[in-house]
Amino acid sequence: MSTETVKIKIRKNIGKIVAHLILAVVMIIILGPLIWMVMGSLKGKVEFYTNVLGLPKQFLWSNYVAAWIDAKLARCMLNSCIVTVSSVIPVVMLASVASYGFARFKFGGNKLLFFVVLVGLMITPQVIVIPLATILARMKLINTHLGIIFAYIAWALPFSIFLLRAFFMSLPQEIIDSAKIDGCSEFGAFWKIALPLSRPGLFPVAIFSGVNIWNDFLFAMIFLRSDKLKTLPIGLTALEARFSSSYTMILAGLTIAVVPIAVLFVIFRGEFMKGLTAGSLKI
Amino acid sequence: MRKMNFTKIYPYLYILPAIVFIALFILYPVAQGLYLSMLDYDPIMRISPYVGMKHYARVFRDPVFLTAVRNNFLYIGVSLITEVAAGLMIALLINKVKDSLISPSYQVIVFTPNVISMVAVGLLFSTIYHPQLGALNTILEKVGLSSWTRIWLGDPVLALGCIIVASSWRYIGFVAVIYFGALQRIPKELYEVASLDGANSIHQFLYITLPLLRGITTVIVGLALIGGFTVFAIPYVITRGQPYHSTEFIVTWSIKRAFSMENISYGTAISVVLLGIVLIATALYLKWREKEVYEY
Amino acid sequence: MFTRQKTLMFTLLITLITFTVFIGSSICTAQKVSLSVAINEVDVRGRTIIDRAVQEYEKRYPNVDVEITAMSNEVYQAEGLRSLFATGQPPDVYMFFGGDGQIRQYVETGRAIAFDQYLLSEKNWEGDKMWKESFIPSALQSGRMEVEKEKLYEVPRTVNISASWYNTDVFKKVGVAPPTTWTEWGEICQRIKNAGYIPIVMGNKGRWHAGHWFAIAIQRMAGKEAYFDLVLQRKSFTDPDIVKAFSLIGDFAQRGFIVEGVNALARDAALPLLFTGKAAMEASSGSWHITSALDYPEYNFDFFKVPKVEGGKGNWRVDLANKHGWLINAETKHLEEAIDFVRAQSSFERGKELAEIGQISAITGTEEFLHPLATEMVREIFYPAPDFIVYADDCYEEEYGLFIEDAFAEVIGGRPVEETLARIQKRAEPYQNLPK
Repeated sequence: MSTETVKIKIRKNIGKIVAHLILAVVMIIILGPLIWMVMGSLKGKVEFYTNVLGLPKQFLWSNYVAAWIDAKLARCMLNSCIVTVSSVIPVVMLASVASYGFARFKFGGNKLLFFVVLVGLMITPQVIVIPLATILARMKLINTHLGIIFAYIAWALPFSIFLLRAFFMSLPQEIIDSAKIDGCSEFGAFWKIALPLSRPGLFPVAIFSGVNIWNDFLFAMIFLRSDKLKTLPIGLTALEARFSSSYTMILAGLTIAVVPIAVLFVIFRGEFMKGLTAGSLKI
Repeated sequence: MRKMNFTKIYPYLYILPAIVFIALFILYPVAQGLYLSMLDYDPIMRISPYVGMKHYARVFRDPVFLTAVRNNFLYIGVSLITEVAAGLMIALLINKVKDSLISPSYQVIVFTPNVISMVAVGLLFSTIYHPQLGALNTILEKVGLSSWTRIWLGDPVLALGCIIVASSWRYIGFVAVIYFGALQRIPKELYEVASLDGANSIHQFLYITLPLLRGITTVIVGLALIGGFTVFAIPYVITRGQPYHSTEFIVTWSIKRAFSMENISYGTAISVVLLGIVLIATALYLKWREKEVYEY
Repeated sequence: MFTRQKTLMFTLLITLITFTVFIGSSICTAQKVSLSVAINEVDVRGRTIIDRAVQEYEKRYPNVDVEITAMSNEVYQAEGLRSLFATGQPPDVYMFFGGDGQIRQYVETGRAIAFDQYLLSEKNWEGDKMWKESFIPSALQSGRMEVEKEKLYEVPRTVNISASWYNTDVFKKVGVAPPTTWTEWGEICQRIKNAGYIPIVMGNKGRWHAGHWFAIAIQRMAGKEAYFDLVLQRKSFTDPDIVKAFSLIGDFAQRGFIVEGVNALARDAALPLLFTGKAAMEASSGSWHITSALDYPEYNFDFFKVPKVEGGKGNWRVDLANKHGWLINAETKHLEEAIDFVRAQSSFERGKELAEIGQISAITGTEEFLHPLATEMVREIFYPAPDFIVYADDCYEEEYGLFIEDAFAEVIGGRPVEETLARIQKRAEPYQNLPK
């Protein structure tokens, strides 16, 4: 080993160490508020204001119990699960079919219609919420899960199509052609060849859409009214009383709301990352 | 004959369901909103007289609206640094140590804020910024920097900064994770060849990494642009536009006018103007980056 | 396998389904009657009381299914209630937060029924007296349209009286007593400040809290008429009495008696300063302060009536009060069920439970269960009052409210009074109907 190579090797490792150090600082900054949130949720009402930074004197898990019961979080969580899953699955299905269409077929209006899809991305939910509510009311879908699911599907489609189209565009034509030569129909080529190849991309789509739907507040507030149908974000507002909000309970409720998704993300992190890497998420 | 017609419409069948959804539940409401903004709609009084462009004329003269526009642009500008650039840096760092055991943890931690709802982020940071009882001022006092304590949300400039901090905290992971994915796609060989040719890391970064990230940067910046114009929940929860409307954003103001001030038509007009702004800005941006857009 | 035909059928089917639903035929007939109720009570204690009434009601009328929509009060007042009406499925019964000004709109557009005949014709929930007699008479007074119709549109649930609240421990430590004049108030604030406590906390992030204090300040200094004139766009912000009134509070703000960042703090965030003994007073707040305070057992508190203003034109005995109650949508298709529902909510048991959580119930016979301070408030402030004013945000109209709220926010935030009012007056002038 020449001195040159040795120098480069040391340099490389120092780089890594420095990177770790910087990242450690970054992680602390990012984790900070989260840790504080969890600690706060375990403190007593008064302690929350007097013992701002320290560890809770007692770990008041009762706050979690109280938040769970008072805000009827069990029902809310069930509703959130139902609504999110029932929206994400159609989104993935519809988006993959549509993206494939945009990506692999030449047809009149391809670019135009895709632009229309993109416009959907630019529209803030607040603009459409009232007209959409009126439409859903006319369809008798207001205050039903089905109604809000439709709204969520429509809302999540633009970004999902955007992501998946790139995937499909990166597939070499030869693969499709050879599938067809082997006797596949056009749709078969999609279903049996292209779709499985794009499977990694489905994870980011599902996670991005799922997270947004799980956390959505506006649609849930306007489209769902009765207690039995409420989703988690709305349920959490029950912890905000006009007369005395209990921040400790609110933080407990927030932590409860975050845990399922965080867990899901930890489990699927690998696939998620692979999805972002694979194909051409050059997008 | 039938076969020929079928071939023509076949592709449309793929995109049809999605387009139907988008048309029904997004585009049609937008059209209705547009119509709504040209009325003086009052659901309680049950009147909806047509007033043409009255609301739009008002929008452009509305001092709060102009402040809001300024705030949105500021927000976009700063977030390009604090979210996009910083996110890229973090992605590079994680990439450097991606073979280490702790790398997955980095990825999870950095992305976790993105999983939390915006309202929750707003609430969390509101309590942190509390002037007397919040974590921020308490920390400053404990480490002896009492002179640095402020009424964070009471000062127009600081409040804006606080909002951006909270928002960046949430989005930096999103950016970092996407960049990280993109970095994986750059072939290792390029770097190896470069270092054999004597290029140091900085050169490698400038001449290999950056150019190859152009495409995805276009996308991320585009998203930041759109997101920056449509930001709502975090500022709404943290400051509600206070103090004195200095931290209003276009969407928060639109919502306030539409609901709290019971002038749905005016609020809708504001959001239509916003849509126009976003469309124009995006179109201009895409034109500027035309090369990258066509590359894919 | 997937022939072209099948693909075609498949996609067409999906599209067709969506379209059918859109063209809109939902043939869902409910066997049960569904009563939709909108409430702005999310506090667990208050909500439980409502739920109990719902249970009793559904037991007695098993063919009715009650659907409750609950929103936090801020959301409800701001956009919640309106959005229910705006999106085509208005509630049959809805709670109101008091304020004749707001009720007027709903009454005039046919969305509220007059209760008078039912009060006389129906019995109360327990069936032991006429419905009208189950209420405290004075509670039936407000909720009437003062102008044209003189009928009762809101069945009262709780009554709310305002006062200034203080932490008795802090007062003791500093050695001050509740003030009887505004000047005295300023003096004790100074002493409290010197002792290291925050004299007054308010939380005006939501832009309504300051209004509660200004309402009473304006009434004390300029008189009740002037207050309503200002709020209803009939008076200039630069009217000398108004300026003097604003200066009462502006003065406090500039002398540093009000918590810093008052406009950045929601009331919920500001109050803990009072509850944990770092601050001394909440300048003006309804009797619901008691309900908040009950959550903090270590907090010892009392109230004092907002002090006299020397040289003020307003009657000191007049004070701020409002009502919280139920309205029934005049367009409801289930009038009988709605009335029975409201009867269930106004039963004696529920009134008693409300009193026990610190509210002032509108049901007779519940007086003995009131919190001692609530009883005192009723005795000292409510009964002697010849008249009442209501909160500003219950009176003013949408657009104009912007100016009023701005004025309140800027003055309580410490901006110079005359300059601020002059500036706002300029912006507000086109919207005013000043008497010539």
